[in-house]
Amino acid sequence: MSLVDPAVDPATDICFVLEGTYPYVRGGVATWVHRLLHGLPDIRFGVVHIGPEKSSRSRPYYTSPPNVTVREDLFCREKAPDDDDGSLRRMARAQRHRLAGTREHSRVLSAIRRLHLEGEDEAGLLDDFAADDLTVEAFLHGPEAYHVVEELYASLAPGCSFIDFFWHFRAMHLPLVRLLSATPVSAGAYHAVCTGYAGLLAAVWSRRTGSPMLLTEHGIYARERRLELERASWLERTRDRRHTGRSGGPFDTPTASALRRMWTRFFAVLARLAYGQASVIVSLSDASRQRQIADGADPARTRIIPNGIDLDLFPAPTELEPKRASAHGPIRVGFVGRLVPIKDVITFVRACFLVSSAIPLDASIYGPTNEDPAYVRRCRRLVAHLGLERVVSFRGSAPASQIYPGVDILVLTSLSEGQPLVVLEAGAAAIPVVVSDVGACRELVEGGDEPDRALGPAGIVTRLAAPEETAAAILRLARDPALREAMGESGRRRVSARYRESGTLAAYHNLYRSTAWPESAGVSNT
Amino acid sequence: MIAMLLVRPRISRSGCSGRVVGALVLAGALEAVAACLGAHGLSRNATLELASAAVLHALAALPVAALARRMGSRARFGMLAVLAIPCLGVGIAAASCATHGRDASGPMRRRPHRAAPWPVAEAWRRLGRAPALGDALVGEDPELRRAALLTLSRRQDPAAIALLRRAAWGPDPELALSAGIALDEVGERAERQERESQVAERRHVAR
Repeated sequence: MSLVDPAVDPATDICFVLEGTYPYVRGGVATWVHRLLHGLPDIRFGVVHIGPEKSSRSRPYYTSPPNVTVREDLFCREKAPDDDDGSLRRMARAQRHRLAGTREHSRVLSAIRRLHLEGEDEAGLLDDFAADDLTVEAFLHGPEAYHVVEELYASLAPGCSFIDFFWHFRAMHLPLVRLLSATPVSAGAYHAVCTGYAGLLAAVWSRRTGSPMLLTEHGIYARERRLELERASWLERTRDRRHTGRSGGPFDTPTASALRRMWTRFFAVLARLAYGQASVIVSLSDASRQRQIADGADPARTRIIPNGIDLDLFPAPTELEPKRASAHGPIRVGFVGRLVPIKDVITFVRACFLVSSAIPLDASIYGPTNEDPAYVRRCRRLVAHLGLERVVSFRGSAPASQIYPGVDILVLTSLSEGQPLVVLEAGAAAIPVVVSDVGACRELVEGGDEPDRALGPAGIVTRLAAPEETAAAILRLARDPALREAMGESGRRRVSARYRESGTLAAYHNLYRSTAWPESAGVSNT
Repeated sequence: MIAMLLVRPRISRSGCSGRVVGALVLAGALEAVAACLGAHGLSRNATLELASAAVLHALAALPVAALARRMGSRARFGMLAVLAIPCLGVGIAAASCATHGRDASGPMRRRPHRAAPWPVAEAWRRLGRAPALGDALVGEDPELRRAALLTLSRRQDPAAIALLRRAAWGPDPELALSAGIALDEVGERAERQERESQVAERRHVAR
């Protein structure tokens, strides 16, 4: 199937379907999208962003290039009107009366029902979601929707709090119903950058229009949601916990347990639906690819296209030599990333404390501080408590051209990563790295296959949440300039050979333009 | 009545909007005019005066009745009070609309705290079969694993930290992440406790 059919000129060639990222949220995924848009000027792109609520939309951080021909914002929620309770109840009552006599059967509701029941055949789910026969009003006030809630409650959470189940059911599916009622953007292909709501929307549009779907996952969405749900405190605020007077024990109440399972299954099924419709499923590393296959992706449709770096932005090591620390000056250690708990900046600060008690140290933390101010305060308090105010500096966001010339060793202590761009940037700048063993970090630092490993290690890999190991690795590199130089060189060779931005752009360009895609899952029969 | 007094139901002021105040003032004005007609009389026809007073008295209940949609049973109670008790009924309606009880739907009594039920035999058997924390951490049951992580993150003893570290350094990346987050929480709790103890010490020294 040709991507761009000359007989039908869609509004755009490739329509990105994004959830909570470009152009409103800064980060690795948003930067990746931005570079693709700029790097492929001969392709017309559309950008569909799914956000929580219209009123929460901020100013875009990124400016789209001229080849972005379609820009659309969709929202999961609508702000409630300022009317009083009485007016809202009257409106709801009027809707219920209007829909009371409705006998039409909704395929979308049927799909929602089957999505949650184990053992139900998932085949045909996507066709039913693509049916577009359910309005938001019918979902909120229609009798059929209420019967579905009752049936699912009886199957999934018998004896649990119905009120909690009801409101969680609504919170889960209302965004779905709202998004599915949006008119598809006319595109040659849809490119979802995660599964979840964006992945399902892209799959449904692909089904309705017959245009193929492409999926790229930076992190595995369903697994990330599962981990979040494990720690979600809002799931514990159920009526059975309040009524029994329990004070937050380790075990879930029956209602919380049922809701947690329901949410987990919901995201897992959305992922399988997106995998099933996507003609090509891209991941950044083999570790991610294996997870996708474990979660239901067809191995024949998966491929790896790693992130890439523009080497021209990073000067060759010889030009950096005069700027490197002298043999007697403090070793300069850099942390580059968002200041949020998943990046585990606390472990970095503790490691700096251990290092600074052995050798002179100059540590800089680069990254935006507005995402989790409470965590930033905690990091600053720890720095003060450990007496590291003269050693550790918080420098905020800065461009790569300012960061890397002033760093001798880059440290990344994250608890979770995909394929971190900062490790590639450090490699391009010939800076050795100390990284935690998460995501594709080991592959980036030590090499993947045999030819890659032959290039040599670009740094040292440590265990998670291990400040002593991180400190030992920093000390080892700090005391051995020859080792630093050798590892830095290996990093640059590896990035040059395997992680060039031009390679990433070429791979996606070929993917978009190719007429030899594998058979897609089929077109909609609606 | 005595029981209500003994129980001492909790009441508190509720915010009265202008609409509510206006309705009560109108009802009061109508009652006042009705009272004047009934008590002093403005003409020689006593029957006409009494009938007018009765009509005005009934009309006085209407503004309060109109609040029923917004205020529910409080406004209905107020309307009945206005109808049943001339003049004073408006005062009772005002008191009803201006306050609200702690529990509007049930009788005004404190709900007893329901203690967790004594474990029955099945619960004891489950407790007996429950795995050790370390085994629960690496087991297949996600709920047991979650409970084990939560339990360990609330302890700050070396054994708990050792179990969490072992999980964080293990081959399962999802368990490693969860254990890493739990370790961070242990650290955060320790930092907070140390801050609180430093504050307490400074206060003690200041005395």
